[in-house]
Amino acid sequence: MATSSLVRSPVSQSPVTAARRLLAVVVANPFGTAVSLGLAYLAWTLGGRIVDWAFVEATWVASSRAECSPDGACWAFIVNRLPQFAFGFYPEAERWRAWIVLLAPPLLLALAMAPDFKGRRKVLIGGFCLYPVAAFVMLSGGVPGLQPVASDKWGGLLLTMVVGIGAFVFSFPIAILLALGRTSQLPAVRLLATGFIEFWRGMPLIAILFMSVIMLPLFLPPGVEFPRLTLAMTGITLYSAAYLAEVARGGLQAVGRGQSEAANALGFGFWATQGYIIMPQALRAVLPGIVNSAISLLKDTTYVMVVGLFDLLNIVTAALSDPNWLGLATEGYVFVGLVFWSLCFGLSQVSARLERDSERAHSRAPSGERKPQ
Amino acid sequence: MSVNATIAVRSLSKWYGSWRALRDISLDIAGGTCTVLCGPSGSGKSTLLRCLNGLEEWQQGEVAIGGVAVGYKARELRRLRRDVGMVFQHFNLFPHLTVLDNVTLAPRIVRGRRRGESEDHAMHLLERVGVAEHAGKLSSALSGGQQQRVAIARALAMQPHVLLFDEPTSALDPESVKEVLDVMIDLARSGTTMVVVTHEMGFARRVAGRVIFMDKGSIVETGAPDEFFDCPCTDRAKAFLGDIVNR
Amino acid sequence: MAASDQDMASGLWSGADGSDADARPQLGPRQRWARRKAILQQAAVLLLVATLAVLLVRNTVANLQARGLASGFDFLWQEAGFKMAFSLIAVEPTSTYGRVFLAGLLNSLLVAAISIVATTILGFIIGLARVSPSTPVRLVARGYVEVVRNLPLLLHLLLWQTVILRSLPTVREAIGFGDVAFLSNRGLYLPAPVAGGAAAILTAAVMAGLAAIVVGCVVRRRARARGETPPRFGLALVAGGLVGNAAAISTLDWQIPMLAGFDYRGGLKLMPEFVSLVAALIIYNAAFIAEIVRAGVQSVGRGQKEAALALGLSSKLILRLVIVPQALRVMIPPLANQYTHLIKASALATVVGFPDLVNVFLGTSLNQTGRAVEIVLITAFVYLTLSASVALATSAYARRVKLVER
Repeated sequence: MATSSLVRSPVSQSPVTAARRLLAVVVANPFGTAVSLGLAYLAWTLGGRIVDWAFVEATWVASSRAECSPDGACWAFIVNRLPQFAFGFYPEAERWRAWIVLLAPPLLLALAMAPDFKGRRKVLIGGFCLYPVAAFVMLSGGVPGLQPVASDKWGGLLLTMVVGIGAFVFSFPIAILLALGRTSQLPAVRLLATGFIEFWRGMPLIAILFMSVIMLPLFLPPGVEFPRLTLAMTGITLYSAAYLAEVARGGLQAVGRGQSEAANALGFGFWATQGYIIMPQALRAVLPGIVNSAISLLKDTTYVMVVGLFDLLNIVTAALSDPNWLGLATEGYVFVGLVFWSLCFGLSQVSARLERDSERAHSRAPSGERKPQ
Repeated sequence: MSVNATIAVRSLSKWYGSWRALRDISLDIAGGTCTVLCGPSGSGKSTLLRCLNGLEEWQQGEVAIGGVAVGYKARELRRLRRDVGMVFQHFNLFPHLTVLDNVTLAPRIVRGRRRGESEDHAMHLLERVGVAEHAGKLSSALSGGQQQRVAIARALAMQPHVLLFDEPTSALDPESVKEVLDVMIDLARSGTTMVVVTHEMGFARRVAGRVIFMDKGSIVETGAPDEFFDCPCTDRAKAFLGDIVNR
Repeated sequence: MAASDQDMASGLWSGADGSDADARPQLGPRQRWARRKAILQQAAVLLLVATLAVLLVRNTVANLQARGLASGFDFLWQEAGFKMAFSLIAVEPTSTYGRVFLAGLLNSLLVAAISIVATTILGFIIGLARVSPSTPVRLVARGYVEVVRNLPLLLHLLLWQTVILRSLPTVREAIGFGDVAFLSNRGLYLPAPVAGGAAAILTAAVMAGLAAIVVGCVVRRRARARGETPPRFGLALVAGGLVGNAAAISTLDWQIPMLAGFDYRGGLKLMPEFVSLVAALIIYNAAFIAEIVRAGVQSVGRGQKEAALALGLSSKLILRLVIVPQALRVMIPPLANQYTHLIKASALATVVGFPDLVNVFLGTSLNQTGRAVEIVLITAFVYLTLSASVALATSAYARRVKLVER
């Protein structure tokens, strides 16, 4: 506290007073000053070395590790394998389909950032709801005009995207039903929903993935088989649904009793009340929480590695053992890190902004008679 | 209006746990009149009002509106509530919707009206209650008096046969009270069947056909407003009126 | 539906209120109908779930038979035939699956316990730095949180496993910590106490000392809660326990790892998989705990702080006496969540090959025995028990804090 008021003291500029003020800051906060100096030193030395490694001495074009400069990063490894990191083993002739699937979500998001136009929300919600099914049809083919491509050929960022968005979208309706079940007045329903949620929340995702590839085939009628991707996605979807259900439940608790009463008095039935009145308010109230769940889910998609799916992280890990490009773990993981970091950081900024917006909306509504509920 | 909007209550009793909220209430309300329910807090007047559209359940007795018994099955209740509008103490507008959508949602979803048709009707109603210029705003951005007038428009949009008011002005500041009361007086004079729980005695005097005084879950006294206010028959009513005046 | 609750309540109360026949609540037709409807709805839901369960069980039985897999829990007493790279209890190839399960569980618990303690300390430091008055400190803490929590935990783990640990020096050039502990690319070497003949007596002594400390603390707290001066023997118990323990530990023989040939001998060797797993768990979860701490501190109103300043308390005292106790209450539920998360995330050990429960039991044991249903059930039971116990412990602690605060 004291330091900040000293720093912001009135602007009278003579070198002597400036020096004296600086001294005052140092004396008032020796620890902070020491940390600042240490950091500046670290930034200077470490930063320089990182810049050297990543840019100055880096090699961008090469056909093997041997051609890379030993002093800098060997980005050529990433550059050469970029298509594989993006699409996995998706056949080259059919890559255009993968491109569409990969680019659709950023385009939808760009639409969300675009200035408001009529029906924007419908396009957005509809787009994301249809995405998993559309992406699945687009990628697997088998419909007229599209060659079938087995799902074990999908990989890289494409797979991360399909698993992440797919599991999120599919888990949403399940989560809403679970949240309603957990707040139901019927004890049996409440018990079932609570048990279901706590089971999936209590299990490690790794164990869930193992279980889904081992147990799910046992549950299916003999003769019915699903690809590994579907099994893993089922597990992740239920896991994510349990977490989302708890977020949605928080939202339900935030909606006042008067709302459902008013809807009842107007002749709304249970599902119409939930769909038009309660859920829109409940989900809006916990929008930041929903985005945070999406971030966790995106990071958790990397766990599909344990059941042998090649998502972005796993495909890079696999590429590290290419004899032509040995010993490039740092470059590979820095690349994966940058991709994940920018996606998650971007989403977290969205979440933070939503939180600020809702806080502002709350503070705008006066506490008195305007918003009694 | 040609609809039969008479309300009949027959020996209605209600318990909350072991506490008896309503004691053997019987009551007839003629269509096209305005009836004011009053009484000290906890007297059961709001409970009785909420029984009329089935928001509260009861253990004994019957309620019928327009000759149709207020049932207990969800579908029967839904059908009844289309024709019985309600205005709440805390407005209970839908804060995530605009004023216009608040008014048009129920006609569209419950009655299956088309959007254009219901919006025309809604604008007409919003003009009638004097908040038409705010139609595009979020309902939470309005003042209390404006919100309550939107709530009245929302109830009217369903073209109900009966309107129930549950202390519509007690959450408002004095200025807003007048705005809302003016709308209600206008409604009463146009011959809407209204049942109003309120402490606004001026309102009762001006438009009520009958005042019903309740205490401890029973109807203690009923009568024309002038008789009731000028010479209440029971001590309890006298005490209550004294309290109101002194407040 | 609310009606059915009310019915029960009225049923309970009817006896107590017999004096006033008028007030006896009755069951109206509406309540009867609501109750019947609730029962029917629940029966329908239960029937649906039961049908689904029967279907799944039938499919499972048919599938198991088709694959010729045995079932039953008898495998737990069969010889497992594999060795574990690291275990707290001796596991030989002749050990049973039951013992393998126990060893895996202990390993999981060890990872979780060490990580929870360390990540809490680190998280609190960073979290307090997040609200420090000094801007550079705040910036560094913010940078740490933003970088760490936006990367997948698995990436953290692989980074530690392949990049950081591999770039450590070889055994011969290991980094020494005061010549008692060493870090190399083969793992972390720590001094370990030698269990001699007096081990049992020593353990008993330490336990007695711990018990004395706990009893002493409880006695003092009770007295303070009643507003009395704590009895002197409480303090004596605590002090005695501390001194006794210190003495007991100091008499231990510590075996220090020594370089012999190509590796260190003696002491405790923690394999690199363990080190990278624990490091990743600590670093990753600390970012989340830091945010919990920050939110907790910021939840304490500014007025509280100003009131404390007005009383003339120093800022360190304010933190300790005013902010932390209040913030702690806000922080408990999310902290418990984070601990549950950490316990579950420790199953990532499988990826790097550390023999935790999921790795040796849900992995190797299941592959060898094929008892999928049994092993999945046991594993699920273990993790659900762990999650539930964290939740129970938290609610017990939260209750206590609330009680003290009143």
